[in-house]
Amino acid sequence: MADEKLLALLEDQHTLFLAGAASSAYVMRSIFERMKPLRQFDGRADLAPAILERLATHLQEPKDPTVIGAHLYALELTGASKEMAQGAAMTLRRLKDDPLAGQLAAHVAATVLGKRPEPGAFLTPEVVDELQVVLEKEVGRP
Amino acid sequence: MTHRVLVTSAGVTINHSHEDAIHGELTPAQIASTQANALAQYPGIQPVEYIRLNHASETLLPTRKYNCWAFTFNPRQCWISSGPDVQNILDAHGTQVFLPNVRVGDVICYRSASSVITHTGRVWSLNASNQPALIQSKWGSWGEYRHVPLAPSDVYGTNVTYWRVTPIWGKGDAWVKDHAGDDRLVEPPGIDLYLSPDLWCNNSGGTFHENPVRAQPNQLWVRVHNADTLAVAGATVRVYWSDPTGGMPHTDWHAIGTTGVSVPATTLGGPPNTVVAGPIPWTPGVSEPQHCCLFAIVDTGDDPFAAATLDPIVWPWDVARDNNIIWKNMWIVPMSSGPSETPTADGAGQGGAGKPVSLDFVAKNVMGFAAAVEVRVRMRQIGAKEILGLGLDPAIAGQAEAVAPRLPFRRSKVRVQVRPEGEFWARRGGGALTGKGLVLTMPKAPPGEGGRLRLEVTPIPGAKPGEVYRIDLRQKVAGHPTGGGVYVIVIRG
Repeated sequence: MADEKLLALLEDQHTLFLAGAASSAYVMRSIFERMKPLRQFDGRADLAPAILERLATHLQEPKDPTVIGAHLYALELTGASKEMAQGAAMTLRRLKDDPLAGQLAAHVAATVLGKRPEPGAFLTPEVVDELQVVLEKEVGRP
Repeated sequence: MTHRVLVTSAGVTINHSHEDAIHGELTPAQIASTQANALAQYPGIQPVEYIRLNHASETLLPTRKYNCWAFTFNPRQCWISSGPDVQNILDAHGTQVFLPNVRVGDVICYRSASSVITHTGRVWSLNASNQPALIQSKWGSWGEYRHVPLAPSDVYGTNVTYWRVTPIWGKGDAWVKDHAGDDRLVEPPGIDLYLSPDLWCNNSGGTFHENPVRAQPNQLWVRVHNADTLAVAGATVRVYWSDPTGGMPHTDWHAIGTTGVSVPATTLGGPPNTVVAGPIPWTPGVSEPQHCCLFAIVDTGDDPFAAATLDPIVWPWDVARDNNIIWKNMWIVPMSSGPSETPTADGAGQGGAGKPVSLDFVAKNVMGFAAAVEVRVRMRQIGAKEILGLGLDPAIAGQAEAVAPRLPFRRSKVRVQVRPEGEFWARRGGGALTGKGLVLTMPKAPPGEGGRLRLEVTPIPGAKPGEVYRIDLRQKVAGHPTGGGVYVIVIRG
């Protein structure tokens, strides 16, 4: 599949449709995990910069938590830790308290930092704050 | 955006947000496509219709304003953040219930294979085996639907449990009692939902119920409770009348009047505060029947999406489900103990010698589909405690106490003949009411159709002044209790 076509999956109406039924980051992630086309991002570190660029665009107003969630999930699949960290940091800066995008970003941040929270765990605001501070240092912010 | 503090009785704060404010609401095109996709992908799910108090109807379409957990625990007011928040609510306010003891209004909780909470909703209906038939729930940013329990199992899993959950604190909870045993939850147990003690007529400012008097000014009163830590401020109490039936569609509720009410907050875990609202004046005219049903709604707001509204109406016009709505279908029938004179139903005039009092009850299919209608008629003598529990004059209770039977079972001194009228009845049990009662059925009444029951009531020799008899008419449609009425026969000297 051409890269552009693959990246378009992250904004595909059907891909995002089911994720809209999610009330939590855990459910959203579970839905993405079951969508076979998204598995094509597995190991595609070469696509991570493009995903990151698109994520930055989607974090502008108006934001859509399901689209942001899809991009964070794809970033995690690529395994590109630098872009994962940047994507998670960007999302946390804008949507730290959000139960969908904020929680997904916090889980990605935890993964990048070598912590492995339970997949369904709700990360408390204190834990998210702590993750964000460490992550910002990782991505070069003071 | 109002962001109130929701807290459990254990003092744990429930995390919540307003996703529409953070991300922007879905566009009309997104709403349309999401709804179309949902209905196509999950055939059989039914979009929920919300009928405002002005009778305007709207479908509860996809929105980011609230999610499943907020529908369940803080109706339609916000987006509750996570499964662990739900777990905190269940820990402090929930009791797990098991089939077949699940009741309408209980919470269904979906979990993943690894026991993570994924979704919640409310039991909307049960089948004949007391198994949940339909659930009402909000699916993430999709719409609100009624569906079979496992309809969304591919998204939320098949691991379901049921819980009876008391309201969390900080959401507001104006409350009126459906009947004396109302436990404040959705669809309280017991089917006397037409006997609210919190709605009465009393033209002297008293707190017991008297029959409204036709063509004269009457005074109606409503007792409003507040069991929450937030005050009820400036709510509107709306009172209606309708024909006396076992269930009446909202289009046949006729407005009587309104009054304002405010009820102070209670302390966390403290007893509810109570305020009596009224009087609401009412002069029944020629269009009202001799005996009416009365309804009251504590209107705290009927916009399902107004996040700033405390305790909005969740199920408008639904007496059983919504704890802001009550119904009174009770009529007091004084009768002479003497064989030579018989008062009419309003107790005012004197009928001919030996003539029975004729009382009416209209059974009606209030469902939107053809269904079986069943009316159970029973009569029994009642004592002082029950009379007071019905919210009647303490003087009636006092007289009943004085003539209370020594034996628990005494043959009734009132004869009741039940005469069904209309083409849909298939009667069983005979026409004379016995201690076992009567069950009258319509095997399949069309929507909005029904039939009249005429009760002819006559005291027989031996009836003592002061005795009080209660005739209950309880209606079920498609097996579900929809209401009923009570005639209270008071034997006079």
